[in-house]
Amino acid sequence: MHLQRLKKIVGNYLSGQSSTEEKVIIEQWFKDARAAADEEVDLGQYDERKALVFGNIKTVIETNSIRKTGGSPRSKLRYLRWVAAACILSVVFLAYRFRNELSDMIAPPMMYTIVTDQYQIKEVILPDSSVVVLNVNSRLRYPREFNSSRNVTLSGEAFFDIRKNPDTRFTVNASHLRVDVLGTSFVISDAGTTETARVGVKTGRVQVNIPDEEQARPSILLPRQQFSYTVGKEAGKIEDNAAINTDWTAQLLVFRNTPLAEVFSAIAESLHVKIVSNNHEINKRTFTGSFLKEDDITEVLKILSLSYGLEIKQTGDLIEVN
Amino acid sequence: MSVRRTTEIGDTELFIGVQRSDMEAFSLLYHQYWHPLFSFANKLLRSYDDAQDIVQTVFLSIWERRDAIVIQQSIESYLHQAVRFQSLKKLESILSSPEQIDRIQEELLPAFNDILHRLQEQDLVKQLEKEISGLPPRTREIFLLSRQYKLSIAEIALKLGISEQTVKNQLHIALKALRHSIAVMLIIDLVTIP
Repeated sequence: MHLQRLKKIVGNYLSGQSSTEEKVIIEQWFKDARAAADEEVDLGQYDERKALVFGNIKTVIETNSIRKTGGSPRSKLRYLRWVAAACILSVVFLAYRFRNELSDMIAPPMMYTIVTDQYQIKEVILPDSSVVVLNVNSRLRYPREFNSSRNVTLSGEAFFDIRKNPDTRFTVNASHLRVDVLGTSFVISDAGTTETARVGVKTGRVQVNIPDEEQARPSILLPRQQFSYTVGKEAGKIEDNAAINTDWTAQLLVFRNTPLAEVFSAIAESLHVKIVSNNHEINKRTFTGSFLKEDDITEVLKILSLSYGLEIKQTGDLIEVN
Repeated sequence: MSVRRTTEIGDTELFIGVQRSDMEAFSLLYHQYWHPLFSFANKLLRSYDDAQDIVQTVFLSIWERRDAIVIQQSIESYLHQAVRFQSLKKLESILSSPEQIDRIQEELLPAFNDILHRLQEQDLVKQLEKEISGLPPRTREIFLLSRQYKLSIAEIALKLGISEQTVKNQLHIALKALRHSIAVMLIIDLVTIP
């Protein structure tokens, strides 16, 4: 007989489903034990255990009778009252603990979306005074106010300089990666169409997750490390001593073989000026170069007029190009 | 004998006392039945500690349910029934605990195998007896003289006044008729010996 068989025999007997044979086996077990027990004479060999067990029984009986006399309907009611109070308290506590999430649910916070086109680089100051520089063709979405958490959404490339707040982590949900920090500066390059998403760290510590890869454990990055994840391929890679390029963050407009007409309209939009031109030549020329944030409009125009021999006349916000 | 009678009268009175929540009656009942019940549980599970637990559970449940208990036969059989049930429940839990595997392999399983073996043997002995009684009277007589009384063929021939060859022939007929039962018995011996 094996263990499983015996288990089944015992189980069947207890549930009243024994076959005749199984029943006979168990009853024989009782019979044998009973016969052996009847032969044993009480010489007081188990008196110690006898006293111990009786002590245990007495203790349990006494404890139970105390509980019983205390268990009048009145005290039951009181007990229920305490339960109710505990319930209310826990609801209040939970409501307080998740007050921000609750208020977000009831009245979703107002969100801002900042978008850059192919020429623009924009600097955004977040509600916690963290700075984000958005590279070309990127989009950043963030709430008007941060509460318990600091969550933003990014598609494209951006440099983040996050204000330190040990109590509230800052999370960037990019197209393929999720980056969690407390206060550091780093660059994320991750758009919906990106083949390789990257995170490079300038200062502090950064945690990167790949939400789509459930098995992937979060990677912790230190300064000068760059994490890259080829979308769809398994794990991300960490590269040490990476050159984290943030030069572009100082720029304002970037052009590569861009027709001058488009350069002018990009300048007009970024610098809030109006540019008019009757010169058709400018549509045939292209411009490659960038303007920095600190460059003012006069500087920008001077560069362009020298490069192309244009005559540029500025009257307040109106600029004429000939 | 007189001792036993007083306890029997005493049992009913003791239990009435227990039902009236008389702690002294309960204590007397406990001391009276401690040893047989403890010993019974210990023979069942082969563990003093488990036996101790079982007796404790049984007496506690008697006290807790004293108002609801209706004794149909005697307190003694009621108590034994309770120990049986608790022991079986305990056995079930032991069989499901991996840390008890040594005890299961070395004590409990062999005990049950022994029971099974004996039961099967009993069955076969019965079967064999039945088949022997079905043999022709002369054949049966010769067979029993040979196997039960261990007489030799020559002794049987002398005793019955027949030739040795006739004894041999009769024994051959008997063994041929019984060989099925005997073969099964041998097979079971082989299978159940661990």
